[in-house]
Amino acid sequence: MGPEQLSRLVDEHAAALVLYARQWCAAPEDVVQEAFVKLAAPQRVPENVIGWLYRVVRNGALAAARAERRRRRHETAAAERMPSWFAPTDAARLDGAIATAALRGLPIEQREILVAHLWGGLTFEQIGELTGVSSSTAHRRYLSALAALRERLRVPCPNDPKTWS
Amino acid sequence: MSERSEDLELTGLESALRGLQPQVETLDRAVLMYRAGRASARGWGWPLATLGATTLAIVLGILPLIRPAPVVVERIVYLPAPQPQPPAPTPEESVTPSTPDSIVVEPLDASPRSRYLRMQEQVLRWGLDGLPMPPPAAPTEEPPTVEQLLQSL
Repeated sequence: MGPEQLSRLVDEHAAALVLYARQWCAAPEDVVQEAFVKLAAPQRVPENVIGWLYRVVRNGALAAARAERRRRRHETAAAERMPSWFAPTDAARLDGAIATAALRGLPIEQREILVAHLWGGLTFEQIGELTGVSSSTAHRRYLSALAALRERLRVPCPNDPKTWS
Repeated sequence: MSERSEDLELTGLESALRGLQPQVETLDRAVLMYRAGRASARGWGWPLATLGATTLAIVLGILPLIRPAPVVVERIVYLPAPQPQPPAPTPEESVTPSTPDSIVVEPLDASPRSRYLRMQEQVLRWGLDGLPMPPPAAPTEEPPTVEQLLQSL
C-alpha cells in the first residue's frame, strides 16, 4: 500500500477507529496505530480495507482490554477518569461529556454497532460480518441503542441547548 | 403518527450524534507514518538469508564432530627391483667445492687452451686462493764446482 493511500486512510478513519477501540480499552490510539502499521506491511492489502481495519482494531482493543484487566483491578475507577470521547466543537448540538456518559452506559453490543455505523460509516452488513451477527440483528441493535440514548439524553432542561429534548 | 414522530426524533438524534467529532488525543500521525514506512520496507529476504547462513554454519560446525575418524589402511605395494647398473667410470677427481680450502683441482686436460680456461674459471670463482698449488719443484742440482768441471775435461 502506498503512502498516499495510507495517509488518506489515516485522515479519514483514524478518529472513528480510535473511538471504536475506546469502547473496550483505555489506550485506543496504540491499537489503531498497530492496525495501520499492519496494513502497511508488504503483501497485506485486503479487499475491504475499512472492514479489515475495524476487525483488526476490534481484536486489538479486546486484547488490550484483557491485558488492562490483568494489570489492574480498579478498572471502574480508571474508566471514570477517562476523558470525553469527543472533541469540543461549536457546531456540535450535543455536549460531548454528556454524550460520552450516555454512550458509556449502553451495553457493549449496542455501543460498538452505534459507533461503527455513526462515526465509522460501516454498513449493517459490514457490521454484521465484523461482530458475527446478521445485518438485521445489527440494525435492530442499532435502533435499540438509539432509543436507549434518546432516553438517557432526554434531560428536561430547556435552558441548556446542548441537551437533547 | 406517534411512530413517525419517534422516527423523526431518532433521525434527529442520529444527526446530532454525527455532529460530534471523535477525540484523538495521542495518535501521533508522524510516528504512525514512520512505523508504517518501516513495516512496508520489511521483507523476507534478509531474515531468510540470515536463517540460511545460520543453518549452514551450524551444520558445518557439527559435521566434524559427527564424522568418523579416518581409517588407516595398510597395504603392500610391490615395486620392480632396480636393475643393477654397470659400474660407472669413476672420475679421477671429483669437484665438491664449498669453501676455498676444500678446492680440489680437477684434472687438467692436455690441451693448453683448456687448461688456461679452467684456471681462469677457478680464479674468477675463488680469486687467487682458487689457484691450484703449484707442483712441487724438482730438486735442482747444485751448479758444478770448478774441480768437477776440470775433472770432466
